[in-house]
Amino acid sequence: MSETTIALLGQPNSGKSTLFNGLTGSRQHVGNWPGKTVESKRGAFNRQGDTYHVVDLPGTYSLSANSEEEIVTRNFIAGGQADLICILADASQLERSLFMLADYAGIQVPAVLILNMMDVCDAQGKKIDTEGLERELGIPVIPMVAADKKRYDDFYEVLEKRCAKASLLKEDGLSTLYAEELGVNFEKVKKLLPEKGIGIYSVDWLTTKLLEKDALAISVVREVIDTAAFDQLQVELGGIQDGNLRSADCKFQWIEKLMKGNVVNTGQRVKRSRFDRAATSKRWGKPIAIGMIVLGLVVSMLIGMPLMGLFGALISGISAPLSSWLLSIGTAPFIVSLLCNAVLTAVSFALQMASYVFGISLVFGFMEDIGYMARISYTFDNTMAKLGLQGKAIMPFLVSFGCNIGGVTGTRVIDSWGQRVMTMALSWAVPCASTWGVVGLVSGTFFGSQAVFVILSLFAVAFLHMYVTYKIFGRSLNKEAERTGLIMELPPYHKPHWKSLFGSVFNKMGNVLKRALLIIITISVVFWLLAYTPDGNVQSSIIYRIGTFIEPVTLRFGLPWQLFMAFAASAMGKEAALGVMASLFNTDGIWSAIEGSSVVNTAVLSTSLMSVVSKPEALAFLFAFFFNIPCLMALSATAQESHSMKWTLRIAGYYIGMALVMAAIAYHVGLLIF
Amino acid sequence: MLIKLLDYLQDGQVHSIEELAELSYKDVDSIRSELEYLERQGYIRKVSLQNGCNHNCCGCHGCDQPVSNMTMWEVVK
Repeated sequence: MSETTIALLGQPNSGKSTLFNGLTGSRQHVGNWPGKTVESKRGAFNRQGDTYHVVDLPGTYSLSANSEEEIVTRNFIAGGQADLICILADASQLERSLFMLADYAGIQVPAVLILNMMDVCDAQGKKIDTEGLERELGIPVIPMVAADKKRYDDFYEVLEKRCAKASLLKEDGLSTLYAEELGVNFEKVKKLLPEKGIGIYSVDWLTTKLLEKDALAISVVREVIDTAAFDQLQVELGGIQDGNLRSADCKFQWIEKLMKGNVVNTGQRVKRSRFDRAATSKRWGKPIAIGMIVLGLVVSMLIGMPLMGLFGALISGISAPLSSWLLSIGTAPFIVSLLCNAVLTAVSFALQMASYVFGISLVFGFMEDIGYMARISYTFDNTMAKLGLQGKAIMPFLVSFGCNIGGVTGTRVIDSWGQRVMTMALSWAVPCASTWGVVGLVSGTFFGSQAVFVILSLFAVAFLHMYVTYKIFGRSLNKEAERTGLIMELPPYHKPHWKSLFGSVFNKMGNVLKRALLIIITISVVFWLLAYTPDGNVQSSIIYRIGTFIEPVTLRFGLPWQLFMAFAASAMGKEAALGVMASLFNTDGIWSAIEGSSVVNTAVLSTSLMSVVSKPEALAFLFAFFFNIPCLMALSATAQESHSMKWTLRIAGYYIGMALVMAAIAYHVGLLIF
Repeated sequence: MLIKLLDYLQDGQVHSIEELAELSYKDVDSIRSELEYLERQGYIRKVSLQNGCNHNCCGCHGCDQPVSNMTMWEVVK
């Protein structure tokens, strides 16, 4: 009959609590460590007539006195309450979980190393030579699956043999590294300490902790050595820089050596392919990324266009019989026109827009899913530098491709206010899903197969626009020139997860469709009402009078008044432009329906657009629309995130001005081309 | 090596874990454990788009975007 106290030590998620529960079952008590908010878990179990008390120490990464958990853990071990320390490490990621073991080396309390999650390790094809590890470490090494109580036998055997009680973790390998790497500093500090260490701490362990400027180690030493020696120690420590990094380096080297000799990874190691090397190289990365984006846009069009045609035809097919039927049952022509022109056209537009969003989401979602998208961010980092931005600004930009509001709120990752506002201003130029939808629809209608060139030119000008924006606002906003380094986790290439990819694409398409239907139908009905007159003469409508009044000015930007109205409405939400166009270019259908002389056909809209709007005007509209402010919600998010209405309005004014200037330029270029 | 790694990261550029592993003749797992150490010591910190997000969405679809899960660390000291 004997009583033994064992303590479970390890980093969070190493399986300590699972083992604790497995060992103690219901015989456990949960409370707090005295005077601390850190949870204390104690329990017990009997084995072969002996009682074992188990203490589940707080999960910590090391024994430094940096946190309350680490202090509690270290004080418990130093207090001599434990007979045996069980150090847990995750065998499936051994290299990352042996730091605690390295930090423990030099503490003279018997220990065992428990390699948890051996099942995962085996599945990974890793072979761990536990006997080799035992020889090098001088302590028992027990492979285990903490979640499987049937596999605790090796652990119980070690406890019963009591051999563990006398096993101290060897520190000679680490001590050699400390002496080599920390050199004179290590030797000078070591000489000032008692040769045999203090209490459970070896002299090398204490020396290293002092070099790390560990507060607890300093107080332990202060109580033991004389004042003169302590003063000398203070002088020595004062001249040491990065002691924690240098000692940690030694621990990592020790772990690496331990792994090399005792762990064989028979699993397939992922090597970087030639493509990946090129895709992330300074020379080829950017051309490949641009090529992939262009290809992505072309494929998006190829996917989206047939769907757009299908939905357009479907709505037209419904529209004619529906309006005939409504007229035949005596529905007022006014209502028929409202439903079949304003509402059905809006539905048609929303569906066609969502079709293009489907194409673009599928293609770029695919790139993300196979792991390529992160490489684009990696490759374009120095572009961020040229814009005077931190590399992490790429995150809100990429989010803006889906939604500008998300992009604006995503700028919270930027620390400095100036850079944050600058990033917001630039993220407005990134086209969101709705912008792509409208651009795809309008450019497809006017430019057919040449639409892809129009889209590419918009994309290229967007980069130029961002650069000009930076030049204009950079001086005031971006005074901090300092850029910090970034480390990126590039996911390995893998096959796409089709189910989740399509799930996400349909989800996005559904969101866009819902929003588009709401906005387009609302705007369409509002403009339809503004264009309505009882006598059927559109020229006496309010909107016509306003439009023709402002047209002399709008034509300077290449925009007929209807397109200017669409541009202005797009500031509320990009989809609103389609609502305006659905109403203002559908007047023939409206009036003939009102007169009851013909059935309504939404297909007439395309023809109407093509006959009323010239290609240069359409090009001007696309540029004005593309570079307009994203939407009112994005504007509100910018004001909220920047805490500056002044800067929000300044950026908004700049965007509207630039959009009109670019529309004028595009119009004149269009006149030369078409 | 940790000091060299930090020095290397002071250039203000972006580096991938694979690139750092190749430069230091180590494997990716070693670099990951070193980065974890630097993160715990406060030399680098994880950048996440979810930071500060109170899910008071107001039309923001930020968390719907796949890139919102992108993992990045930045050097802080």
